[in-house]
Amino acid sequence: MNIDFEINIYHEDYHNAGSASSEIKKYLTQLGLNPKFIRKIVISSYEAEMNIVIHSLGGKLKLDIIGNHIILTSIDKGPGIRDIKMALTEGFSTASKKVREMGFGAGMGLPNMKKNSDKFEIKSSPKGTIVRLSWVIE
Amino acid sequence: MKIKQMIDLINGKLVNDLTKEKMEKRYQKAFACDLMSDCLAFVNDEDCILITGLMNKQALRTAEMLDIDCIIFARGKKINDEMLEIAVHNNMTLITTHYTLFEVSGILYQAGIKALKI
Ligand SMILES: Nc1ncnc2c1ncn2[C@@H]1O[C@H](COP(=O)(O)OP(=O)(O)O)[C@@H](O)[C@H]1O
Ligand SMILES: [Mg+2]
Repeated sequence: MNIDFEINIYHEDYHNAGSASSEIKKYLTQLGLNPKFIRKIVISSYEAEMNIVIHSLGGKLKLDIIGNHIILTSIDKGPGIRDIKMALTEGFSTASKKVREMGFGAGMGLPNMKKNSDKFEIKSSPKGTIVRLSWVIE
Repeated sequence: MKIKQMIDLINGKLVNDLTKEKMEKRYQKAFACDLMSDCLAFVNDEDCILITGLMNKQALRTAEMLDIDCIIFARGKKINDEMLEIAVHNNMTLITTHYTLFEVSGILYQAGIKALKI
């Protein structure tokens, strides 16, 4: 099996926030994967999607299935993460009060993605952030 | 506990219609939270009710990702059409109540609903 799709995500588009992950969930469900396994992927995808909406200038989520690997990549156009180690600390967040009132900004997104994936990679510069998550299909 | 009993206990209002299957479904656990990332981090059981004061689409999206199919909105605010659409799409039951998050949790806990083991 070799599929892939991409969904664009826009800065501060709270109206559509979550719909990319909803699409991904629908797609993975159609493939007939185990619901518990799907949950790990879509929790990560939703956190990644919210990070693009909240913290970046816009970007996209990309889903690839290569052999028995599922790869979710979040790519955005900046402004990047200044201190990645800090960003990965549970509870660290630069989110505004407005974002917190919407239920996000608890500083648990990146740690959640790391916890829920088999492999977690992150790279960041002022030009953009790439988070690459992968799973071995169970 | 069945949804009907839950609604009676918390003086709740059912927002959308129940399917027969949903009417008969029994829930044993709940998680009460306004922080969606905490829900995403800790909810590990799809047969769990979400009790929240967060009245927006993100609460529904969070439930969707977690396969949660029953949400109680505390402090009774209005659910808009967009929220309802996500709920219908995902076969979720939405309940509103005037009680606060603390009261809803206390009432249901006393009636035997358990906390999630996290
Ligand atoms: N795509 C991104 N672009 C820029 N900064 C980001 C991005 N993702 C995360 N960050 C930074 O890392 C911090 C921690 O992210 P996260 O763990 O998801 O928590 P939260 O989103 O709740 O703040 C954010 O507050 C933000 O400063
Ligand atoms: Mg985040």
